[in-house]
Amino acid sequence: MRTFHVAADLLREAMARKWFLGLGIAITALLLGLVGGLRLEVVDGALAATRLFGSLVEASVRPADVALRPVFVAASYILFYGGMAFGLLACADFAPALLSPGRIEHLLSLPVRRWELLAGTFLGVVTLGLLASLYGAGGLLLILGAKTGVWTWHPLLAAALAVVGFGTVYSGMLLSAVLVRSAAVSAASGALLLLMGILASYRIPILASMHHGPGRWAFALWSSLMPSLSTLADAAGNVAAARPVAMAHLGAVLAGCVLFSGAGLALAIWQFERKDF
Amino acid sequence: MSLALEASGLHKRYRRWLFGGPGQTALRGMELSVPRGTAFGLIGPNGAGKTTFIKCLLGIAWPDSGSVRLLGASPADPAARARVGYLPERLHLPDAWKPPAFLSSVARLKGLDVRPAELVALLERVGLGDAVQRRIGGFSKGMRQRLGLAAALLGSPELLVLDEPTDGVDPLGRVELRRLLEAELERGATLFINSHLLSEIERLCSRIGILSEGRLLREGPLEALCRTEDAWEARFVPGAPEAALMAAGFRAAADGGFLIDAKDAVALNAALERARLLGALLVELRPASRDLEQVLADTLRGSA
Amino acid sequence: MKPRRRPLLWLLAALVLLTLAALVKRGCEDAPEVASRPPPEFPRAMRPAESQRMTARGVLPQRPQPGHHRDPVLSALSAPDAGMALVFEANALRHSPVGELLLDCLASMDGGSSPLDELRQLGVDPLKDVDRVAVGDGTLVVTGDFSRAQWNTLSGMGSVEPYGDGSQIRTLVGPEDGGPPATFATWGDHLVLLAGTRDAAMAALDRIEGRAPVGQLLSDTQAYGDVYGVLNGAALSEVLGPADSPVATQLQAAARSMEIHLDATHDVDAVASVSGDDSTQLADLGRTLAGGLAAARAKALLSGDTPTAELLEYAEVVPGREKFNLEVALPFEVLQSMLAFCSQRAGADGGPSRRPNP
Repeated sequence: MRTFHVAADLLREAMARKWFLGLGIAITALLLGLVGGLRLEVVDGALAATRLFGSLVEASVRPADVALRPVFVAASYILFYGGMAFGLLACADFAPALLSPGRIEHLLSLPVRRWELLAGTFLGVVTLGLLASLYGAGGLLLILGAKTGVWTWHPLLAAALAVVGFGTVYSGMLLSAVLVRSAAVSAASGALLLLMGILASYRIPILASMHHGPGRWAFALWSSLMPSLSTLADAAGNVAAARPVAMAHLGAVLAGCVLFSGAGLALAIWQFERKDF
Repeated sequence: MSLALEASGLHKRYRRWLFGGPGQTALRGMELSVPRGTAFGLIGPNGAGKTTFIKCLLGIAWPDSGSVRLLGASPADPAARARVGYLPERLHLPDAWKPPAFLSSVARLKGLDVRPAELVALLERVGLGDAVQRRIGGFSKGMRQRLGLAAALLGSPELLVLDEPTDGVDPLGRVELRRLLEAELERGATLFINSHLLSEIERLCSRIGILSEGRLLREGPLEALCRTEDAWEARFVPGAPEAALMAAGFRAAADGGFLIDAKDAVALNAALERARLLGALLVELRPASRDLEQVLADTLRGSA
Repeated sequence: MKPRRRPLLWLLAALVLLTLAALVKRGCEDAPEVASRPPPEFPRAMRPAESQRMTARGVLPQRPQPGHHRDPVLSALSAPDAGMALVFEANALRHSPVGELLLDCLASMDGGSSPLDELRQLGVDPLKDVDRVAVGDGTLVVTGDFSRAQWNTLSGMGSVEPYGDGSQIRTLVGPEDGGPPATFATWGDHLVLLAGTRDAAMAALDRIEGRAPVGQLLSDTQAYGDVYGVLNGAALSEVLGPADSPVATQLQAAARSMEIHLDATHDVDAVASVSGDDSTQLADLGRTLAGGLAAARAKALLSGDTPTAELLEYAEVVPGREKFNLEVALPFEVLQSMLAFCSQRAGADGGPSRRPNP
């Protein structure tokens, strides 16, 4: 299917961009720094001492997997929000570049359906996010696993949840790019969607503090349509820490985000199909 | 005779958002048919609607009314577009890639299974054999055009739609590309060319269309369009009395010959007799023709 | 012609997906969160409720003289050479899940009346009148409301003599094996003291009433938790018992004193602060204990003992200067299973619990 070819081309193009080159170098440098500078002393399954570049880190002695949980949780939140912020900036240009004069005409003249171009762009960006997240999370758990003997796949799952969140935001950015071919507007719309997603996660307590009226009604309406991104971030943190998670609740949050992504993508394709270039 | 493309009653207006006014009409009832295996050149002033027509042809833009058939099918049909090679006026190329990677990408999107050696052969054919391992970002404009043409030629398409194909290409390069396009014609492909280089159109195309303000003013074989009805071009032995010939009704032509207007054979022979009596000995006589530039100018003037 | 029908399908799909997303979101807002076990509340410092408790007893916030406890229990236990002081906040414990379990167990004791019944016969309701029970070097101190107590009916009660400001010393008849007679003392209607010798009882009363200096074994600011105390030197060795395991040997070698605080609000959450003279030995001991806890957690996980495994996640050794804090929680379910023999015994007796209604 040509969607995958479009996605593969996007990945190839991303590898050549300085943003992602820089990201790859930064993650690799961080991981190598941990390899060389982090010393963990494990006694009978308990993390007895931690040394970072020779300096002893004051910490209690507790089971290694329990001691690593805050690290995984922190990494999960950094991945979610930090990765989201990076993705907003670094990926904002892909759709506007696709739609640029000279390129879109050429692509549309090829035997590729219009929706395949957008779907392929979406898929490529999400795959890019997934690869970067898995590289960072996977590298971290490989290093910590080798140093402590604690092997867990939960951080990888948390990384995947973060990518679902990013996909939700990117669908809105894609729609924005189709409407207004501008990387800046696309990034701004992504940031706005992220903010709305955070607010929508707390809609119940916010609604409880609002007086009844048109404002409350409007907030209730739009917040019910927005994806609960903070809820997903918290769920990812719980998953990373191997804390118990209500699977039905997590499944509902995930489904909501995926459905929202689908809606954003469908709207973008609707506009794209009608557009003249 | 099957048609490579057929447009009937095409209308296209570019509407503006919200407060921009009524918009701009790019095509007003355009009618055009191009037989397969021919080379068609579309010419006209800037803003005539040439690029818009091409976009409507390929499904890049949607006409407001009318119909378009591309190789017998709708432009919306990917199978029809698979048999078309298109070179846009300003093709965007990925600077960080190398030519084989770009061609490979286009081939995949076209659904073609092309071996790397075939890609290299195609690059050599368009004159980029020495630049196979160079990044596109370092290419000149002419090299980019050649690469774009190579992408259009992938899969030996039945119809080649080329928008300013020799833009930025040096004169010798234009000769090479023209030979290449002639070879495609010989293969049986149909060429549809939009170019401001009228000399290239004259050399390559057998049929011409003149577009202005969204209307096709004239269309037909190149010879027919360039031929003048009542004018003849005569060539005399060197040393013919120019002034006397001018007085006898002859006009000097650009290439050293003389032009004479004659409605019929009687008037033509009378004029030749006058020249003979003046001592000018005839060596060649043929119907006078205009170049394409003149044809274009005359057509536009007539439509104003 | 512009494709009109196909784009509308995408718009329709978008609206349907958005509606579904909103419905799913509403559904997950109503979905219950996972009911997880509350984390243990380790007694690391005096909490506001405990501070209020001490204030109500007239102890905090002011200290009139340095080194002079105002808390009579701590004063009684803190002899200058004291090696052990352990206080049980009975009033708090009896309302805790563990306390109720222990009371039920006591009420189901065989062979006649339980210790609770014996106290009631003396005019003391153990469930209402007893506030604290404390144990020191050969000394037992109980505080509460003993205004209705009939100490004279206590078997073996000998002569009664007044002592100091409102205290009374009663010498109990000596044991059948000919050992020294125990001394039973009261300080007003609020404190009862049982000492091995008369001199020990008098010394404790002197400390309570400020006539004798008080040691620094257990201070007012260390009086937090449902059980709290300090064990030093020989007392610690005696409690630890024979060094029949490497950990016990290590503990005896490295530990000079141990300060304990327990909270029994839900499970039993314990903090033990172990001090020693050799910081290296102490650090090794801490690591060994933490390793043991990690191993215990791994074993609990393997055996499917989820409550224990969950609570042992919070177990840790916090290193410090010349000491470390061991924090560990014992699940209520484990205590329940440990005291299961009590309910079996009660069932075998075929009768209801002897514990009177509160």
